[in-house]
Amino acid sequence: MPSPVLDTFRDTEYAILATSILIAYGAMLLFLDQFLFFAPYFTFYVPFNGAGDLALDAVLAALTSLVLTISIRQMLLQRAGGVVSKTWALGIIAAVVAGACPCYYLIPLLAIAGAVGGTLGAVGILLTGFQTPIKVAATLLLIFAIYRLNKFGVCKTRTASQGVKQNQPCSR
Amino acid sequence: MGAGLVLLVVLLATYGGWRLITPAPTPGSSLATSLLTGSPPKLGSANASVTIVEFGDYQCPTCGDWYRTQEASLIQNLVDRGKANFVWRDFDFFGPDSISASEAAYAAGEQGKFWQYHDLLFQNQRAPNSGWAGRQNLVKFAEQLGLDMTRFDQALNSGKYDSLINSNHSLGVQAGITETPTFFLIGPGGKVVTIAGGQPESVFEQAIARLTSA
Repeated sequence: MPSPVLDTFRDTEYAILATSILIAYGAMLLFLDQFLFFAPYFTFYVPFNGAGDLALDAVLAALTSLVLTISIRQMLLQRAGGVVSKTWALGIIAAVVAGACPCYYLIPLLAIAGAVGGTLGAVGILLTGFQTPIKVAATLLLIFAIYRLNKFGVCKTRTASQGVKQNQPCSR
Repeated sequence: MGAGLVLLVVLLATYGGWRLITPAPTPGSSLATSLLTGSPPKLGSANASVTIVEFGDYQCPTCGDWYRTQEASLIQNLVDRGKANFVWRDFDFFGPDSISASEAAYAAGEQGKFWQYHDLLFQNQRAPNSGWAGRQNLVKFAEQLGLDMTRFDQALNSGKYDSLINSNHSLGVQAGITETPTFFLIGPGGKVVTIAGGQPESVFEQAIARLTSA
């Protein structure tokens, strides 16, 4: 059965986009979680108790890149095919909320610089103690987004002579 | 066209990442002088050619992780062998318990047990502001070390370390700290290498080799 998820990665441009998001977002997460350092030397280091966090970062980066890429493609396909559906919007929102914006990391950094204090600083500091549950919740949200995208997304339908003919729901 | 744009973004990001890798020591003699001002707690030989200054917060989870995974081997391989001194400076920003913990460590220092208290704090570290560094526990840690409790209580409650803690924080801000722990390695001629974050001991060895050979 055709699947919008698999259909996305038959397209080279989207495969490249997904890989780029994976590398950029994965590097950002690894840097923020102090597995990757750029100065004074380029260093990748996993402490003995860090394997679980590293695995969670890898899963989060992979899911974020999948959800963002599929959502962008769905948005373009649905607009081109005149399909009225906002499934792609759910994917983008999920990726931004769950994966693409780990803002809670930045709040303690801003607190160091004295840019935020009071309640916001306190909330940021509190959240640093809950990184793992937040990441697990983000992972679940992204899995849900992939499920929805796969169920309600559209596929690119081609004919030999006409190229792209129509974009329509492909999973049923 | 889309693929080309993506490729361009990847190339720019790679170039930006490469530019971030700047291993050369900076000739920061005024920074070095500021970092060595006063008489902060120090471990190691007076003849060591490099001084490692750590800025940390006893409540900071990364500082705790670094302490538990790296500090002992760094002390053993670099400080005990006379290659470097190790200095602690507070950079308290996690909340009032961080300041209390710093005060308690200095109060223990009055009885010659700063480093033992420092170790005990990191060994007992829990989630920030969960109460593990509250007054009651700080007193318990002092009792565990067999300190004179009257002297410890007086020192802890006197507020006499407030200005030291504040000046360490200001020094950290002035030195450009954006995360804890941050380490400044000060070599001969006041050359400084900054190591931000809980990096492995091997990075310190590499930086010290570079500082002393330059």
